[in-house]
Amino acid sequence: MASSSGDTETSEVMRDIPVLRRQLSSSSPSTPGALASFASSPLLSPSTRQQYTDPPVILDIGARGIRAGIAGLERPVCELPIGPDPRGRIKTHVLWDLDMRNTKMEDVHDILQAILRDVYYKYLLLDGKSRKVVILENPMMTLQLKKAIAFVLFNYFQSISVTYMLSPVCSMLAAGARTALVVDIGWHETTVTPIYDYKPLLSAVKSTLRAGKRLHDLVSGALKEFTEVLPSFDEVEEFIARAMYCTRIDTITSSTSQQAFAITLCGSTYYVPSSETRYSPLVQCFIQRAQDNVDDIDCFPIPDLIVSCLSGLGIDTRASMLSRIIFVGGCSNIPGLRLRILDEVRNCLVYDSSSGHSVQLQKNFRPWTIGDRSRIKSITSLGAWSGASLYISRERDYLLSGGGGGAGPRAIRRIRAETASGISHTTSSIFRILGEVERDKFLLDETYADNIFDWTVPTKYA
Amino acid sequence: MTATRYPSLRIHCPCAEPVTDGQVAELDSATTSTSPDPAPETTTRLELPPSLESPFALHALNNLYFCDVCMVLRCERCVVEEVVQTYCPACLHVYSADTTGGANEPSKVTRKGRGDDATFCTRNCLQCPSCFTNLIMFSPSASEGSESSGTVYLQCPHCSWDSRRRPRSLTFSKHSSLYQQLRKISVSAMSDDYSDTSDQPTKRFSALSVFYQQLYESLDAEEEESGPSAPPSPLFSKRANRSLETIRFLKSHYSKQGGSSSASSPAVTPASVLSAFGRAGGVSSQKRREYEEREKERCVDYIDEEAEGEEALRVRGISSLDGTPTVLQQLANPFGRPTRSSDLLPLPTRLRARRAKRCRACRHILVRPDVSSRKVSSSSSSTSSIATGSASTVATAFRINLLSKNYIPTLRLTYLPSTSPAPASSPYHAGFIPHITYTFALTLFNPLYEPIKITLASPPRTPKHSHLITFLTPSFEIGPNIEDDWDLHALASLRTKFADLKISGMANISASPESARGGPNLGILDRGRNWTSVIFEVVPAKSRNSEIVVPLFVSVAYEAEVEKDFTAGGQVGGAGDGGLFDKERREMAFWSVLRIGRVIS
Repeated sequence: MASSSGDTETSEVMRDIPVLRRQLSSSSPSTPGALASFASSPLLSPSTRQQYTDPPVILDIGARGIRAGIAGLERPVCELPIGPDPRGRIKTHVLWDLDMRNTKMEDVHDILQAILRDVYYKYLLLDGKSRKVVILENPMMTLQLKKAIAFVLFNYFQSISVTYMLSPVCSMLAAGARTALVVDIGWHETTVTPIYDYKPLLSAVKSTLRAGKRLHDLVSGALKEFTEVLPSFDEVEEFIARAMYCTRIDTITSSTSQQAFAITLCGSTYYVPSSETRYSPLVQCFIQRAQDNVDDIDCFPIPDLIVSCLSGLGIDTRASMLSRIIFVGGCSNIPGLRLRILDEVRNCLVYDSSSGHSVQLQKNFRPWTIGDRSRIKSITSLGAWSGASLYISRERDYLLSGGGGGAGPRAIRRIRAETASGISHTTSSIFRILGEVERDKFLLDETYADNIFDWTVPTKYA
Repeated sequence: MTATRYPSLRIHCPCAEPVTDGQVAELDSATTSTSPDPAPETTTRLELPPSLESPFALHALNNLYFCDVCMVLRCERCVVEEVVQTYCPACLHVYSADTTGGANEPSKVTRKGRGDDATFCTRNCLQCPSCFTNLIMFSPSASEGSESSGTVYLQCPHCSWDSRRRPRSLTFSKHSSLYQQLRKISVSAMSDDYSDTSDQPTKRFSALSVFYQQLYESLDAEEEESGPSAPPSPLFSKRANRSLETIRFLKSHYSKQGGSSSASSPAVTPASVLSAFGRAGGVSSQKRREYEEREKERCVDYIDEEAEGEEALRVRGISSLDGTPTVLQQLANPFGRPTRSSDLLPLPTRLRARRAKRCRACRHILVRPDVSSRKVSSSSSSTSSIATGSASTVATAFRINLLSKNYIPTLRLTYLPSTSPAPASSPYHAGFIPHITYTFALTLFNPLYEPIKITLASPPRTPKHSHLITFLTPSFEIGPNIEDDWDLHALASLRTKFADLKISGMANISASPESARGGPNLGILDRGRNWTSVIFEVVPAKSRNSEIVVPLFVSVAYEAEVEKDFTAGGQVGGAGDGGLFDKERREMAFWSVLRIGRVIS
């Protein structure tokens, strides 16, 4: 960019602004001069400041859809599902396959470009090149994908910089907690991420294939069984979003299973048994163990996954997580599912002396908590997008005006450092966000981005 | 999958190709156009670009731009776009004509709770939540003559959704600024419907916002204590200082809570300070208890298990999908996720953007909308907006608009239902029968003021299913587009000629003396002032349900008159015969893809 020399100059001067601002707010007698220079400074003319004060764009890119908006808003401006477009260019419903060998990176580029173009020019109504971008990443997101996203943003949209933030941390921020166990029920995978004192314990992250895709297949199979019509992808997704429910205990009686549910597939109406299509696939997908209690290591039921994740934690961290379970992700909106998973976790962990241990005791899952089931609780979260928005809108003044070491709130800032650098304990007060990938460097140096995207290696460029 | 309408014609933009491939293509086009006889040896040398099958690289001619500096086509992927103006598509009101992209200023308005305003029409344009049509405003009191009450309601002209038909009837108290009224209604409606009010996203977000603000303030205060004039030294706050910072953080946190009037917050006690030290020093017995107490003060909100259980039971009770909004309707609502159809509220209209486009290679402006807004009276705008006075509405003109259709020939495909074995009806829908020769006319229109020389090239067999393609005339000329209006008479004559062909059969054409084999006009069906129709034949191979996709390379060469540049020499083909203008030979080439139809067996 031609303005790079100008940028450094400006940021040098901008670094003093927080100091000025603090002096202003403290109304100490020595500030009038500062006030005058503050007000009359040509730096603060809109054209100069804009690049620094414009809130960044936050993108939550999932396998099935994109949430996008501007930092500071309470919810994303748009949520676009990925699916065939009117122009017939996009043929798939998912951006990437879990097995990256089945994913052509060119396709990811093409689809992302097409959708982000809609995001920028139809919904956000702003230029890509005027904003920084913050992307929420799942801890399990592959490096290839992160690079692909950055490639599209830098090449097609000329974004100034791209930063990755861990989406479970943001989900926790949107819950107002500082310690949480975030259960993200996504499309390909369900991921359980423990976070202690704003620090994601990434070595303890667990995931299972019991997620949206598996539910989709099960529901599709169930509907086909009763209607003998193969429902389309969208019909199944509509059915899941609108008709699925979960009860706290198995209550399939003969009366409820008799209940018929009307569903229109391919233009004709069918009546399907309610419980078998609306409830059983859900339980089979998320709750039920395999027939012989032997699940593959990547296919644990969600309650077991939560329990095994907690088991892997230290005894002091685990206790505070029990009352801070957060459910996010598309499938967690199914009415009653959160409660059911919570109850199953309670059954696993709580030894109830009155009824004995009703659930068969697995050797790995010994109950730690005696009696008090209410200790295991779930908290609400506004979602990862809103969390990132909250965080960035609070942090922005410090972040983008070059707050230096002077005025940063350490506790919150530490998240950023640890989000970017993973498990490393370095606390940085450097103004620049750790893990921020700048456009010019990305396009020039291929290895530069690799080191930043991969949080398992210590950041060299920070 | 969406059904393709046949015949479809798409132009390929090579911007997704790696650079090396582009060079190869250029070389090929050069050889094709310079060789006098574009015989099979040229055709074999032409390589199909790998992205020719990618739907993202194929564009309709109307969606392409042309950079007259680079002399190449530009698609939506190889232009850089800039938002120059935002406007409401319903009332055409211009919201921002700022070239610096200041359409969105959520940072400033969010704190007032008006963050979405930048992307929605804040006047009276509301959309139907069920079918997304623009709603029409009615006044219920109009017939009764009580104009003073001024309440209005909304109706959808398409699906007859009515704002009064909800269980709780929705009317607006006045007929202006419906958007603001809707915002208020939506916030209150949401908190009414949600059994758990603290779960209401807007309130929760502002609560969290305040919470973090307080946290930051406490930290700022702590910074102040430690000395505001301390230089921001990275060394000072490195890892070594971490424990000290933690203590300071905790101290300020507690002192903050002690100072507040909240009864439950602990005061600054020796224990808390001790615990702060303990926390910094390592694991202490008190640490966890203190930590948990602190956690209680956090802005945490437990899920309402009762309410959620009731909601699950409610959903269990439904017997069809009718009562729940579709996913699309849920996603469209900017104020939250409605779970029942009766909860649907009118949607604000999203603004649209007019954008300037630049060539990504040379930054030359390809499209620049005219942002000078006109003042018109609002009576001509949409029915849903009854704003008084005049409003500035969006202009539709462009200052610069370099569309590709003004630079490269337009192609049109016509089926000639003439040869005897081929069916007379259109095979586009009925499908193609293998091993029968189908004849098509490809008409090219020249948009330029110079005569152009066209060279067509295509593989003899289609790459995928090896349907046989034959262009009888690969190379021909088209006259200049001198007159401004289309030569309608000539087009009409073309149509009658096609009709004649239908009667007489194709055999006559190829046997006619003027297009005898070896003649200069072989395969040329007809030509007009600035257009030429050539014949090509397709013999579908026997592969069931396969699509006939013909890749076609079009190379255009012409001699343009350019102003004589006396300062710089080395002009290409400078055979100027005096005067101010020089002749310059220009070449363009592009791939196009004709999708003709499907084979039935």
